[in-house]
Amino acid sequence: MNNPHQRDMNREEQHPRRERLLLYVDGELAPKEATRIEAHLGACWSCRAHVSKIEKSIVDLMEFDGAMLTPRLSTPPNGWRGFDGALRQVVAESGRRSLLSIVLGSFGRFFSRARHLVIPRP
Amino acid sequence: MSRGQIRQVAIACTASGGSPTVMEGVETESTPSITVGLPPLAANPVHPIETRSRQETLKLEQKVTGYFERWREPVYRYVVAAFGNSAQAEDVTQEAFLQLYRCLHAGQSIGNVRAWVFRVAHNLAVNQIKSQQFITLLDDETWEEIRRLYKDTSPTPEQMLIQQEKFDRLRVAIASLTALERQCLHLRTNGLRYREIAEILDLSATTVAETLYRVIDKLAKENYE
Repeated sequence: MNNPHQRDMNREEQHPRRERLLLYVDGELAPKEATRIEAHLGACWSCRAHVSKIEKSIVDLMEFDGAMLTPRLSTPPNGWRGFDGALRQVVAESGRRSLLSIVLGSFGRFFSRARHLVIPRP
Repeated sequence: MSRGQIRQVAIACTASGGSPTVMEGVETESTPSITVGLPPLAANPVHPIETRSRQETLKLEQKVTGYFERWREPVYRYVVAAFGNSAQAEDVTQEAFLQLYRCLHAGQSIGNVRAWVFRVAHNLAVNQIKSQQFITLLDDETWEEIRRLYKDTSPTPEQMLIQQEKFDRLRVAIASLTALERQCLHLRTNGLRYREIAEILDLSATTVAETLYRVIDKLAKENYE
């Protein structure tokens, strides 16, 4: 069992957990584990059948999504008509400077200039 | 919900962004990290609001409008499909993009804008659309209407019947999912990666993977067993 090749062979023969197969299908595994599962699938019909089942479920789901949900969800009740006005309002609100920021800004600029007058530049 | 409350929700959302979760053995190289939280100010010098020119403001407005046109539909679809209320979903979606403008205008750096908008929309929906069920989106009457309007491309009446029976079973299976399962499923069908879903729902990537597997397993059982 200390032979590394033998160890790799055994690992290849172990069935991966079912959840790992979905991660494999979704391309979410680290390359090392993805390669190991790919090698296992080459040899194991049972796991390959399970991968097919996962893929079939995804296909059915996306067919359902496209055929039955998308037509119902493509247009919202108000057709996005409120957004432009709401954004303009937010832009105007964000651009309006508060009295406090104007006062603080003036103080900041005054002290910055005063500092240069008092402390000569090197 | 008042505008002030909405702002609080979004701020709470951005503040709880935290570091991306990493799942053991999950590919991390191909999926970009998400910067949802507030970055340290010193590391990201920004234009102070006072000095933002009119031209910069216009540019930012156009940028946010561009994001809105690009991602409003997937975000809206997610909110309706996961929370089941189309009228509120439209408001929630729009508010998420308005929040995006406010955050960008305030100088916040957002690495993954799409995930950020989904996250803010999700949090707003959680607070506003509390007790809705997916089934309200597809009640019996609506379902019959959708079935009637569905243009089947099956070559034979037998195949059309099989297809419709499959959709009926899927409708039942999807309606039986838990709220979390629905959320994970509809984020995934909108093209988000596991780590992005984990960030949006504030879960570990492992939980997202387990939840999505449970969904696929339920759908497969409903369809083939």
